[in-house]
Amino acid sequence: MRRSRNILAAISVLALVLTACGKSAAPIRVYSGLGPNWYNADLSTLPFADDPGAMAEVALILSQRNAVEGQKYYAFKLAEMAFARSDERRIALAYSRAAYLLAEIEPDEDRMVEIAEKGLAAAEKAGTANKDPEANFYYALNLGLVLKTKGLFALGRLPKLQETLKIAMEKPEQDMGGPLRVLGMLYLSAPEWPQGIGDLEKSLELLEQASTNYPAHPQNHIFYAKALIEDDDPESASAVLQKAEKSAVEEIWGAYYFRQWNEEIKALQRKIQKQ
Amino acid sequence: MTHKKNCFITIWMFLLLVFPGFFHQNGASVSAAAEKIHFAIVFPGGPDTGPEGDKIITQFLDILTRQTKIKRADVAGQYFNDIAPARAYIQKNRNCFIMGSIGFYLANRTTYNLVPLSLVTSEGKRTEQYYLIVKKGSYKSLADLKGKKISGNVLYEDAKFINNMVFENKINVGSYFVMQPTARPLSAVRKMNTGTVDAVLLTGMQYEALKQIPTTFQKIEVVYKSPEMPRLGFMMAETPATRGVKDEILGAMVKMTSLEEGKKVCNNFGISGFENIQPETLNETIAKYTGSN
Repeated sequence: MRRSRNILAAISVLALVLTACGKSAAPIRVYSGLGPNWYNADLSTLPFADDPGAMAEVALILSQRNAVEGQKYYAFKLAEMAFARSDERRIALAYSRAAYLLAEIEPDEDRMVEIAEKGLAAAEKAGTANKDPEANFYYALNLGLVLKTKGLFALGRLPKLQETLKIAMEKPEQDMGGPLRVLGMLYLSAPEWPQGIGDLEKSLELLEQASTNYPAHPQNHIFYAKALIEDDDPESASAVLQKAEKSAVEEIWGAYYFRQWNEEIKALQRKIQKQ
Repeated sequence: MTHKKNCFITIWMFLLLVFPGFFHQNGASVSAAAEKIHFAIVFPGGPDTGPEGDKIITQFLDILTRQTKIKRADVAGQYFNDIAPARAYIQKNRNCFIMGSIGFYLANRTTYNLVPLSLVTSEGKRTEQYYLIVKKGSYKSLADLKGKKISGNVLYEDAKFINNMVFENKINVGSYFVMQPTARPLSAVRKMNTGTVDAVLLTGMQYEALKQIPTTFQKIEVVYKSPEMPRLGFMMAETPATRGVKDEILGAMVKMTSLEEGKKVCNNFGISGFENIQPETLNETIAKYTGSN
């Protein structure tokens, strides 16, 4: 009897390990006992659990860049539940946004891709084909994450990314100049002419607009500084980086982006010093 | 170094085209070789790939070892955007296949016992030709450009190659021009049209691509055209180990470009395929480079 219990326990442990190793959209996280129990909360007990619109609305409130990982996970699950019950545009958009914000901070690449692909599907449902600027923006953000993992095999999909961002540009104010920032960065980092869509001048133009018109977002300055360094203009890049440094504060953007952006800023400053 | 992704893409395209076929080859394999086989991808002035480049190399080597009997530990590879570390790598790892230009081959042929293996073909052409362009009406000849600023990514190539092969020993570019190499040739052309640089040295592929941008193309003219030369893309440092797997690799290269997917990827970058050559094919080119013809 004791032996069979041991075998059962061993099988359980094995099953747990295999589950943890398998591809699952649900991050395996352990509740620390402090703060909200984001990962194990039973969403079905919420009083608005049968109202997809309300769930999406709450998901949107929780889907903030400065939110902790658990909050982003909770928002994603909430939006996922809402999306499963309704294909309304605003619900699909909320799901796509929640997926992007969670995927971007997910350290496990397989899980990141899985989450971002859900964000892609949601954006498509929200209306990428109808040239909806918001749907196309979230589609581009999620697609960008997926392509980061594809290496060589991503190249063929860069024109698609460019096309969606051009549609997103019809609403440049979303995510504080998000379409300008992302399309500008795509032109900066894509394969250069004549093989690819990379174009330094286009990149500089878009990123200058992002940095000037939407100065509150640190990434607008960071990306613009990168383009200026590429254009052999370290003095201007240095000035732009100062703006980035002042705006990338933890109080606004949270610990994750505060650390990441400040590391990028410091790396760029070192690069300028070497030039 | 700045981002020079155009070159980078060509490199990875090479990888895609060359190696998946190699993975499926039967018979003798790299794993059978007693020594480790190395791959050096040399693109002077190419992008600083950082973690992205490492990832793609790892991706490539993982595929290599996963799809064949080749052990992961039997193959290694590295990408270089600077000639000096590439040379050091080949010096240290002599069982090396190299993806690099005719310029790299000519400059390092004797030091590393390099053997040319394949030309890159593009729209039926198997030769390379370089174009020195200026803003229309600004300069009439090469002589007019003495002391002027020239740009382009070709300037990252070996200086002797540019002098002897591109300019046929007519000038020494280092002292004749003010050299401003860039990884962004289109930016260089635009800067030329605004007067920031005086001339741009383009590859044949870049020159042809410029025709697709009529507003820019109509503002430029060619003041010098180099002679045509073989467009080498793949070579090996000859050792018993590389000699042992050479035919396998070359067979795979040609086979890959005939496959639908490989062809599509190639066409995206204006490359029709690879054409294996005999080393003697380059005798005339070597003589020209060394000045012994």
